Amino acid sequence: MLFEVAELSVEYTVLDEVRRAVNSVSLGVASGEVVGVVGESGSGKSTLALATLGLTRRNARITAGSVRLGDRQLVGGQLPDSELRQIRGRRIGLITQNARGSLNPTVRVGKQIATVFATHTGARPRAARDAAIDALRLVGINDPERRFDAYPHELSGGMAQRAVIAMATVCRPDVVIADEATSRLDVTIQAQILDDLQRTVQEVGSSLLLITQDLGVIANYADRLYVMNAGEVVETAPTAELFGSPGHPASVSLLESQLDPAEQEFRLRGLPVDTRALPAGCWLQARCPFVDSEADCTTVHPPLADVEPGHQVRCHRASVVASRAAELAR
Amino acid sequence: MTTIEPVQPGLDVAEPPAPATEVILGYPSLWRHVVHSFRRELLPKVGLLIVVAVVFLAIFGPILAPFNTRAATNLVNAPPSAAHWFGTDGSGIDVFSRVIAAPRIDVTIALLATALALVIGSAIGLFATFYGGRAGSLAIRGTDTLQAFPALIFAIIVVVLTGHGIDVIILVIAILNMPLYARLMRSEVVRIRERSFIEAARASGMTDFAIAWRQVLPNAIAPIAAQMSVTIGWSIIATAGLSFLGAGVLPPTPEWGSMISAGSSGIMLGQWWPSVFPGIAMALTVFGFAIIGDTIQSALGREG
Amino acid sequence: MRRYVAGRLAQVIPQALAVAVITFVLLRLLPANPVTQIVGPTATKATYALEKQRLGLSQSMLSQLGTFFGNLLHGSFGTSWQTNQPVRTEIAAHLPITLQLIVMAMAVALLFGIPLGYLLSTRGEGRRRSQHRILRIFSLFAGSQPDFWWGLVFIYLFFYLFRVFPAPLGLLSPTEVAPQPITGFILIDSLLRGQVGTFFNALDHFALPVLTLAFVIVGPIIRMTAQGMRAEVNADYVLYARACGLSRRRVALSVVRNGLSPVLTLTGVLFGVLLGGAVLVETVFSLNGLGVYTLQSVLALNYPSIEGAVVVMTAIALLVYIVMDILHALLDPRVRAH
Repeated sequence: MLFEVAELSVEYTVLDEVRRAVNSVSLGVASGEVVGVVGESGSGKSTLALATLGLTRRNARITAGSVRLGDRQLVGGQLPDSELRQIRGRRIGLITQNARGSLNPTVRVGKQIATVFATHTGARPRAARDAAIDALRLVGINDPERRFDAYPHELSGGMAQRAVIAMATVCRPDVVIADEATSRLDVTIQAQILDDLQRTVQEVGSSLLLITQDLGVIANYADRLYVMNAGEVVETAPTAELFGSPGHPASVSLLESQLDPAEQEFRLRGLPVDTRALPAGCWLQARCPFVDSEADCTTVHPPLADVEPGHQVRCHRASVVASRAAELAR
Repeated sequence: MTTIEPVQPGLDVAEPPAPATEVILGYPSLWRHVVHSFRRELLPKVGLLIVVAVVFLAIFGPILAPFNTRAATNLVNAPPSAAHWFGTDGSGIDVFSRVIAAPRIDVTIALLATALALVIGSAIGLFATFYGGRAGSLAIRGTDTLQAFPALIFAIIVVVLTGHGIDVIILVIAILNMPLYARLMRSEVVRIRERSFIEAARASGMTDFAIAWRQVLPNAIAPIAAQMSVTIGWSIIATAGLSFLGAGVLPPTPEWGSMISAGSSGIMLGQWWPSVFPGIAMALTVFGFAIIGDTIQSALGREG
Repeated sequence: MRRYVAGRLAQVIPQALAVAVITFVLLRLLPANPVTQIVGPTATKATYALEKQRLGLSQSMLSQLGTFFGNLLHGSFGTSWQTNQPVRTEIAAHLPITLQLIVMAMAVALLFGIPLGYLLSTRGEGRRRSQHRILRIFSLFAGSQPDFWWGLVFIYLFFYLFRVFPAPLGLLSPTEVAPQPITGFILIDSLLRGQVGTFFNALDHFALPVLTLAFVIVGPIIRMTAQGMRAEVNADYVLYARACGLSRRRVALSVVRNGLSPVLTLTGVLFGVLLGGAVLVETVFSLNGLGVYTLQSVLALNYPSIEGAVVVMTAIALLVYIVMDILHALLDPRVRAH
C-alpha cells in the first residue's frame, strides 16, 4: 500500500458539544489505484480528507490514528511541521469541493499555481510559470496563457475546479485526494471534469482517492470502494462486487438510483445519526430495516468483517442482508 | 450542504459547518444566547450595573441631589470635602448634586433620540427594501446623502439656529442616526429575503406584514439591538459635546458637557474637580453602554 | 480603473451639491435671524431693511441659490458677514490646521491600531489570553469615550502634572515666529523655511491634541482590523493554501493583505467623522482650525462662512472616501469587477 490510513479519528467541538466526525477509519490506496470513498452528506468524508494531511479546521482535532505515505508517517509519527509541509502539495495533492473559495481571491490563479510549484521545487519564476501553464493545459483549459492571469472570481465553476486540479497536480504527486471535486458543479459538466481529472491523474502517474456522495459517479472510475456512515467505514469492496452484491444498508441507500422498488426496503430510514450521542451497539440501529436485538445490533458495535475476500461489511446481520439481496436479484 | 433549520433541535451534521453557513433563529434561542453571555463573564455584569444605575439617576437623580443644583453660593471652587463630595464649581454649586442630576438630561435625550432613530430608520429601511421601487431607492439615496454631512456641524447649526431646545437636540440626533438603522434594516431584509422560507411563507398565503413581523424582524433584531447601545453612547457624547461648545443645552441646566466646559479653565490652575467628575460619570456611562452593545453583538455573532 | 474613478467622482459631485443646497436652504428656513444679529434688536426698520438687502436675504430663495451657485462656479463662497473678507481665504487659512491634526491622528492610530488588531485576531489561548482580554477591553473602552473630556485629562496629566507637553494655547509658543506661508501648512512651511525650531515647537503643541484624537479612534481600528483578519483566517483558501504546503508565514501575509479591506473603509469613515468633530478638540486646545471657524460662524449667524465651511468639509470627506475606494480596488480585484 502506497498510502495508508489506520484507525484515524477526528472530533470537533461546536458550542461546547463534541462531535465525532471521523471514527477509527482505516483505508489504503495502492500505487496506480483509483479508490473511492462514498457516503451521504455529513458522513465525515471531507474531515477525513483534510486529516490525512494532518490538517483540521479550527475547532477540530485529530484524536487517534496514523497516516502513512510511502515510508513517511504523516500523522501519528513525530514528523515536524516543516517536513509535513514538504509533503503537502508535493507528494499529496488535495482537490477541494469549494474550488473558487479555495483560491486566494486577490491573487491571479496562475500565479497561485506557480507559487505552489516554486515553493516545492525551488524553480525560478519563469520555470514555475511554464509549469503552471502546462498544468492548466493538462486539465483541459483552453488558452492557458490567458487564463493564467485570471482572478478566481472571473472563472466559471468548472474552470475554477480545473484550476484547483491543476494546483493539486502541478508537482506530480504520488497521491491525489479529490474531495467531492464535482459536487458543486452543474450536472452537465460533472462528467467532463471527472474525465479531465482521471486523464490528468493518469498522465501524472498518481494514485487517486476519490471522495463523493454520488455512488453512480464513481462507478466508472474507481477500482475499489469504501462506504462511510456516521464517520466510520461500514463497507469496503471492489467496485463491481459492491454494485453487484452490496452488503450494508448504507451502501444500498447510496445505490438508490440503481434500485428497483422492491429493493427500497433495504434503505436506511430517517435522518443521519447524531454523532454527539452515539448509542451502544450498532450506530445505525434507529435507521436500519434489519435491526434485531437478538443479533447484538443494540448491544455490540459491529466490527468490519469479511463476507468475501476483499469485501468487508460492518453488520451483525450481514448474511441475512446478503441472502435477502440474493432473493431480489434481478 | 446541510443547514441548520430554524428553531428545531438541530439536524445533526457530522462535519464542521463551513464558515459561510448561516443560522437563523427564532426569538427564544436569540435571547437565550444573550442572557447566557451576560451570565458568563464579569464585564457584561459591570456594564449592566452602570446602565441600570445611570437610568435610575435619570429618573431619580434630581430628587436625590443633596444640594440645590442651580442656586449659586459663595463657596466657589471648593475642593472635594466631607460636605461636598465632589467639591463645588465656579458658581459655588455642589458638583456631586449636578453630576447625578445631569443624566435626567443627557441620558433621556440619548434614549429618546435613539428610539426615534431606530423606529423611523428601520421603518424606512424595511419598507424601502421590502417593496423596492423608485420611492424605495429614493429613500435610501436620501438617507445616504444625509450621511455625507459633517454630523456634529449639522447638529450645531440646527440647534443654535433653532434656539437650543431640548426637543430640537433630540430630533437632530435622531436624524443623524436614522440612516444607519435604515441601512442596517435594509441589509438584513436583503439577506433574509433570499431565504426560501420567505418564499414558503408567501406561498402559504401569509400577508406581507405578517412576514415582516414574524420572519424578518426576529432575525434583523440581532444587529440592531447591538447597534442601539452604541447609538445611545454616541448620543450622550453628542449632547455633551454640543453643550460643551455652547451649542447645546445651556446653563444653568445641569448637564455633563456644559459642566466640563465651565470647569475647563480651572484645569490649568489645578482645579480639576468641576470638570473631572462629570467627565468620569460620562466616561463610565458611555463605557457601560458600549459593553452592553458589545456583549449582545458577540452573543449573536456566534450564531451568524 | 480610470472608469471606476470617473464613476465614483460622478457620484460624488451630485452628493456635494445636494449637501450645499440643503445647507443653504436649511440656514434660511431655520428660525434664527442673522439680520437682527448684525444690526441689533433696537435698529430702525430702515436700517434693518438695508442690511437685509445687503446680505441678499430679501431676494427669493431661488435667486439666492442662483447667486450662490454663480459664485461657486467662480470658486468663491462669498464674503464673510463678520469680517467682510472672502470666505475662501479664511477657510484656506484655517483648514490646514485641522488637516494636519486629523492626518497625524489617523497616522498614529493606524500605526498602533493595525498591529494590535492583528494581534487580537490570532488565537487567544494560554498565555495570550490575558493579553487578548486587556486589548479587547481597552479598545472597547477607548472607542466609546468623549474626546473633549479626555483632552482635558491629558492636559492636566501631561501639562500640569508632568510638564511633558506645552500649554494648550494654540500652535506655537509666544516666543516662536510663524513661518511665512508657502503651502499654508505650518509643519511643512517651517521646514521649507529652514525654521527647524519652529517645526518642533509646533509639533510639540500638536502632540496632545493628536494623542487625544488618536486615543478615541484607535479602539474601532483595532477591532475592525481584528474582525477583518479573523474573517480571512477562517476562509477556505487559507486552509487550502496550507494543504498545498505553503508555510504559515506566507499564508499569514495573504491574510493580512486581504483582511485590511474593512479597516480601509473604516479609515475613510473616521476621517469624515474627525473632520466634523474636530471642533471639540480644537476648542479644548485653542487651535484655530476649520472646526472652530465653523462654530464661531454658526454662533454669529455668518451664513456664507457656514456654507463655505460645510461644503469644504463635505467635499474633502467625499474625496477621502474615493481615495479609500481606490485603495480598496487596488487591494481587492473583486471590487474592480463593478
